[in-house]
Amino acid sequence: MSGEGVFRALLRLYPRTFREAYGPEMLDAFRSQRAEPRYRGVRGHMRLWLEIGSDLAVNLVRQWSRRARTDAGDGEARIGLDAKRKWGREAMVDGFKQDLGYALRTLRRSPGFATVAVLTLALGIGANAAIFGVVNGVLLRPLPYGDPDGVATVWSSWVGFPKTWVSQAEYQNYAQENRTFEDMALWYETNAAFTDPQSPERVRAAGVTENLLAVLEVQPAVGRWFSVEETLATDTLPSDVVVIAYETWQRRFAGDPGIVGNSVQVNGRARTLIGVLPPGFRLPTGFEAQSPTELYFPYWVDRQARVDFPQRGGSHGFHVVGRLRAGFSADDAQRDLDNIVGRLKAEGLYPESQQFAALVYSAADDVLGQVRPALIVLLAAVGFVLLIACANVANLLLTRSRRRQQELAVRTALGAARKRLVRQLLTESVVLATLGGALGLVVAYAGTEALMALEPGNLPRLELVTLDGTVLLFAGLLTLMTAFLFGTLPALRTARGDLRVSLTERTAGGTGRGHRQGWQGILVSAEMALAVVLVMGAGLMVRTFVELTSLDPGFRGDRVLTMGISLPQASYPDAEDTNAFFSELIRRIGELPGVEIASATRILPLASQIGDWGLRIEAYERAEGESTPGDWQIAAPGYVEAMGIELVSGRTFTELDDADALPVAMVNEAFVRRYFGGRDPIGQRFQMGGSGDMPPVTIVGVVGDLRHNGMTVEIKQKFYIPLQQWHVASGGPRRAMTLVVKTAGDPGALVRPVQEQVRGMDPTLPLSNVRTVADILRDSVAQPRFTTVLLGLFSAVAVLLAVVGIWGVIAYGVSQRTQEIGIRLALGAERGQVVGMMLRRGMAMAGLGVVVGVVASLALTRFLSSLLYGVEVQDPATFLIVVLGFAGVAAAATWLPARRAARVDPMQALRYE
Amino acid sequence: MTDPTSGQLEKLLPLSRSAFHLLLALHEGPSHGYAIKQEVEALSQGVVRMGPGTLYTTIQRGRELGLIEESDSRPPPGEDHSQRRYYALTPLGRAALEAEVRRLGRVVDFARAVIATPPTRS
Repeated sequence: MSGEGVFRALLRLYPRTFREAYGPEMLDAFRSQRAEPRYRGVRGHMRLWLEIGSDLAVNLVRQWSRRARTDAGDGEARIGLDAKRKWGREAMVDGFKQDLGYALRTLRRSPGFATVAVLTLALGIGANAAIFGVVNGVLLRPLPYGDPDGVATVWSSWVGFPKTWVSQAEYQNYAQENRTFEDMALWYETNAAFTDPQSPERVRAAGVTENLLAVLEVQPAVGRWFSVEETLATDTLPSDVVVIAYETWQRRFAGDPGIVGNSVQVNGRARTLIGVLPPGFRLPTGFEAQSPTELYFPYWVDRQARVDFPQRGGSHGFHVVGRLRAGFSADDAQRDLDNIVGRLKAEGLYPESQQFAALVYSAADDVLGQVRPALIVLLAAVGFVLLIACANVANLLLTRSRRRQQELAVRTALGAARKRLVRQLLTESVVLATLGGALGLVVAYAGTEALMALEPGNLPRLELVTLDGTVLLFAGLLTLMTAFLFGTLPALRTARGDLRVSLTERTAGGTGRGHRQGWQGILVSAEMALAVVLVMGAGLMVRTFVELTSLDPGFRGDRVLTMGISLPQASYPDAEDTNAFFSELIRRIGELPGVEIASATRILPLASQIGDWGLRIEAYERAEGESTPGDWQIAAPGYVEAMGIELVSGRTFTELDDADALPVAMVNEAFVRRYFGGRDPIGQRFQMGGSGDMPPVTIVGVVGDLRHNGMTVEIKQKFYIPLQQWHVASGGPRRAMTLVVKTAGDPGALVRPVQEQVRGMDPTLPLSNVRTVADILRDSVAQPRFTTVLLGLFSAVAVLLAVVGIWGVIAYGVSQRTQEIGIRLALGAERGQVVGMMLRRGMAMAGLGVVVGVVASLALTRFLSSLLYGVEVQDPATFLIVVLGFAGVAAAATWLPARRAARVDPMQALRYE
Repeated sequence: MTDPTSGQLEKLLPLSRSAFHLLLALHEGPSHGYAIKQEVEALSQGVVRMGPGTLYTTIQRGRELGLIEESDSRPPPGEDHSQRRYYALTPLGRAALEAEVRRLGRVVDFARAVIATPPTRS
């Protein structure tokens, strides 16, 4: 339905006289209002409908209470004649107060019904508010940039790298030749350390071009940003100035404005802190990180200089973000950069076999595109739960309306208009929903806490998830909508009951039942159908999760403690210094009690993205234009053993593989498959870099493949160089490493002793990312686990509610038909036949629901496809299990109350009359 | 139309917020629904926002009380929408608006006087 169609439908809720007099004009006003710029986009849409919804709710009450007064024929109160009645408000308040009081008294008289209904609604509304809170914080809030829709990120892509860094030459080339960007900025990510001895700390850092804030349209919160002069020459020299994140300013400097303009110790050198970024600022690549990028250095790239474009673009290690020209979209920019890349390819600068491409994303898609499908699925699932809850409460109301028939008949006989009764019944629904909504807020609060405790992993912007005004408003509107959803049908049906019949009838049976029971059956079938869809989705997610967790990562994480450490260049200028430091540190840690193996590596698998390094492999014939890279890893002796990586052949590194020994390497099995056709590579040699200037290294061992860039990402060829030989093989020292400590007992107990060893050697050195390998393995499936657990929970609630629904209807049916059953039994019917009759009715409702549910699942589960791994969207096994499961559950839920039919004593049943 | 008596006016005051802004928006001349809504938003600097329901409930009420009426004056044919009705102040509406403004003025004067006098300590 279009937005206008929805509005038209909503207009029908007003009294006819008002609708006929003003409906067309209101539609016209709605059209004009919708075209206002503030209602554009997803958030604008939401705002529009929230406003329309609250406007509707308020004025529906006003208009109907006016109608009620007019109907009552009360001359004094007739609107238009009595100017004392101020705009109908008093009339509304009077009528509403009366209805409200009556509704509260009625509900107090049936506490069991009220409790079940309120709890059901609280569960539905609360779960929806909690999930909406996550969606609101993560998806709906704009990115913290000026005009965020105009921000686009640029990435590179080639064979084996579906989305990776951009090179500096590519950036310069794009910046000069594009027609769709106003300006483009570049940055690289690194780590840096505050090195004052009082509180050394290693933090995420970035080197950025001076136009970054202009591109993002962000102003520093305090102080200023880098000038062009400060940036010049920082491509070769360390900068003298830094800018920090707001969070860092608060944490390290207690928000002291006096620190701005003063010097701080960073990476072993004094630098001037010139500015503080606004709170919540993140680089486009920084939203998934637990902590923001805290230190910013200027980095110079001459965007005007003529680019001498190297083969394959040169070294790829940068991120690029651009500000789109007005009127251009990310898709336009994509076509624009495609053309530029096409020209470079035509000039032979990118080999065709590499399939090089530039990728442009709108910033919101880049940051949120990964999580959007999962969150939308969860929101839909939780919406289903609410629908089921509404159906259940509607059923309860229908059941109850039977008992209230006489009361209502009396009131009608005493002169109450039918509309007045409908309003009365609707007021009861609103009261129920409001109570449910209020309790739902408690559920939502607890639910949000629970969601955060579930550790949704790398969900970006989790810190923005709160129960704020938007969420409260959402819950409020949901409550009102719920009241109408579950209240309208029972109210209309109840008030339609035949007055005379109700008054003359004494007890159960008689007219009206057939209709109501029909509706109850439909509601139960609908519940079943919704539950089937949810369980189907949850089943597919569970199978995905099982597939993911049964994948072998290629390493083991039992009792391994890891932490990052980085040596500042100022104090450790060359390879002798870094090698001596790391070798002594590892020796000391290895001697700590409780340590089995102390080692180190460059970056940890499943906790980082590993890139590759071009190689010359002596025994491998390169095809024309073919590149022969390998992912580069550094390992100290003991790394393979500490991580439980399989040694396939040859040997691992030892203390003897030092700077003076023959340079050696280990490679993984993928490396052997690609470059040696699976033959034994021990003794074969390769060089790092394409120039052939670097000394050759000899392969001494083959280790098993392991998953590095993700559990489901293709495993690429990888090589390991000993830490003490890295500068020999690559030409420079490595200062940032990760310590890997295998312990005999609880790894957590070793954190302090290891930190003390580091401090004992150099008190200015901070440690970062202290965690165990088990933590890393758990985090790697955090997001699918989050989705699976929630979908599982929702479908469990759905099944529970549906079972309660079917149970209730059958039990009620049995109790209503006691007399009929008694007669049948008296006339000689078998008890089995009677139970069978009730069972058939239950199974018919369930069967219809399951069939509709399966058909709906076939259509709906494809929205899950981007979340699934190792299982088809239409997985026959899952479908079969769900259908059989539901048949079983429905049979049980029907059979238990149906049994009671068989226990009916014919004499007892007949004597009642 | 006879002149509104002061007794009639007294019964109408105070005007509800929506009514007051409706009359204020029509003070400049006849206008149609959505334009009234925009004028109200502009005059109140975005503070008072009327959704379609509130807008037309207020218009309905204003017509019933004789404060506003459907107007015959229409814009040039090119800008005209056939479904749009134009509304204008009646003499009673104009008088009610003026009386309300006077009343509010007195309230504000009174409040100012109270605030300007420093509270005495006992």
